[in-house]
Amino acid sequence: MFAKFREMFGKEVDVEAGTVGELLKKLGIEDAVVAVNLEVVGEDFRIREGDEVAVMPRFNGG
Amino acid sequence: MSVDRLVEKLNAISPDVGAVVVFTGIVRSEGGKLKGLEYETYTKMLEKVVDDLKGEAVRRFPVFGVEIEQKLGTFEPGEVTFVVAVAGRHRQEAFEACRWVVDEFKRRAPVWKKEL
Repeated sequence: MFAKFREMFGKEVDVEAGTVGELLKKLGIEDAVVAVNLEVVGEDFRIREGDEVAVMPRFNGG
Repeated sequence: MSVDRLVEKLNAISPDVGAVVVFTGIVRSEGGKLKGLEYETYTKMLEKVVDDLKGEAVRRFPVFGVEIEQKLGTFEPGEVTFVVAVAGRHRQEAFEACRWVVDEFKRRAPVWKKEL
């Protein structure tokens, strides 16, 4: 499923966005888990220059 | 993945270890419908979640230590893909901590499985 997201958007994409919510809107994704610097964050979280942002499908493993 | 090795590692933490509780997650065949499961992850975040959970578990429960292993790749029904082992002085706290770690791992760990 993570691979499916990678196929859709490529391994890395450049998007300008202030918050996580804006980022998801620009990517056209509604249902996702977003981690910034390895921590899951909400839609109001403000992304800063240099942050590592991962947009992922909901976890279902383990 | 060797469960024995994890138990030995936990048992070596203290001579006061009196119980090691082990949870193993195994691929189901779903009545023969499933050929297997493919697991993938976001490695850096998985490592952080595992480290966080090990630390949180020993602060939250009176246990000596926790080991967590998630296998990645393709597995057939019957194969063990996930192990949580917890060492305690007594079984009660080890059972409770093991259950907590398994539940939290499922909630927090960036792991995805795809049916094959």
